[in-house]
Amino acid sequence: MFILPVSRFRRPAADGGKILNLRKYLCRANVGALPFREPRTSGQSALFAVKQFINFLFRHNAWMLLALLSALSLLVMKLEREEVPQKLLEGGLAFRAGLAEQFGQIAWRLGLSEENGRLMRLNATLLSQLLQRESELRQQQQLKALLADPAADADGYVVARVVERTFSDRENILIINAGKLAGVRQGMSVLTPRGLVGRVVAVSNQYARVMPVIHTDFKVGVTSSKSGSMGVMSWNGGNEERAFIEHIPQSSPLEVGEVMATSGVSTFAVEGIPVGTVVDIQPDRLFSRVEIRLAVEFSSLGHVLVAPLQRESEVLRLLMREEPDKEQ
Amino acid sequence: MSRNLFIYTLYAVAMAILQATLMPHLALLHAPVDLQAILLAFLAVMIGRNGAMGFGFLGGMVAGLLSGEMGLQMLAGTLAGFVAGWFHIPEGSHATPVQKARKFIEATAAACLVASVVMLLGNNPLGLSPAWRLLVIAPLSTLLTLLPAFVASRFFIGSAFSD
Repeated sequence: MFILPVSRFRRPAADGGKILNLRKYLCRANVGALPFREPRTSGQSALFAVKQFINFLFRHNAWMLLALLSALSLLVMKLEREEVPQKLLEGGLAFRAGLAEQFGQIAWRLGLSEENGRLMRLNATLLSQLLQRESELRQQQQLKALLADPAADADGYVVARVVERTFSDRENILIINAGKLAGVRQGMSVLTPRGLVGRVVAVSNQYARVMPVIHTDFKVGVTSSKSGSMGVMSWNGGNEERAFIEHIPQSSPLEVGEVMATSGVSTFAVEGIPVGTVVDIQPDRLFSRVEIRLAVEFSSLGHVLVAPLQRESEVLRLLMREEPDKEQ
Repeated sequence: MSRNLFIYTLYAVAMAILQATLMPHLALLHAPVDLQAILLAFLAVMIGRNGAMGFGFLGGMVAGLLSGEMGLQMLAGTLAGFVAGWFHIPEGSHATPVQKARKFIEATAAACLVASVVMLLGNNPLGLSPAWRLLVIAPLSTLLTLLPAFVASRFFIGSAFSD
């Protein structure tokens, strides 16, 4: 039993195949008794040295394994700058980068709600800026349209901007930034190129208050551009796009679609200012009940024109029953 | 036994991949949780020092392949497994599950500390001072690693200790 077959070392141990159990196996194989005998021949000496080495390995197997693995690690550290390991490492880095990108996307999705909130705030800011720019552009276009209107060139017309508006379902008020210093006076008509807006009811030095068409106290004489039918326009509240014309006889040839404009019997308005378009005619007791769509869109009112009171002295004095001789 | 070795190998590879890819994103003050140290501590307690060293070597190889520091990671894993092997509980021991869990926690701390020190000494990509790395990052990483190790000992691997 001096030479232990190699196959017996490789044989799985009966008690689990653990490395430490090989030592027991060697002891059972009576190899362990050898070192205690004095080597007599050169062969016995060699076997003794091998056995001593094996015993040393098994006694310090953990340290040996540590040394082996550490040496391998150090060798890899030295060799990993070489070409082949470098390519291997590059492949590993690419794999890791791919995984890291996936993890990064997950983290990005987790933080998406915060990003959404930031974008929403940014959207709100940009939207407000855009609306402001659009509003300014619209005002400029309105101003250009006013200046291009032939009426604006006439003497006494004042261009003003609506600076304040109070809308309700019955009483609406506009404030324009032109007052006494600009030549605006109480009773002047206010209009846009589209049609009649209202009349000035109060004036300060810098501003004027305008009672718009969509006010329940507002009334103005109107006439049809086609059939010549005359009536009085008023607004009953509610829809800001619709108004009614009273005192239209049922015999009137007025038809749907005709444009109604201010008439010459108005005490304040210049004749011929469009007011609206007839959209419905219903017979009533004595007169027809005519509904019109107003010409002016009050929701987008920007700049307006204030027309002069050209007929003031003529009409008002007649209404006030004054003598013509005392006018002068 | 071979089935267990296969499972442990899968765990070691998975932990190495997680360690190299996910953990750097969850690092606190550049100190990540060391999942490999937790696995090595468990293996050291259950199967001994040699197994822990082998799996530390293997895990370090995989993690190093992904991180570009293969030799250093292998050395750190080997040394961590070797140190964790001091806390091995031999088969047939009469240690209670609580004692095994305590050994596991101690092995985790030792393995993590050793691995952190080796990695910090061998690799300093951020250019931090050595004192800062050794006195702050390594202990902090160890403390962070002990939290999941404690959770694991209570809820996941407690049954292995009670067998």
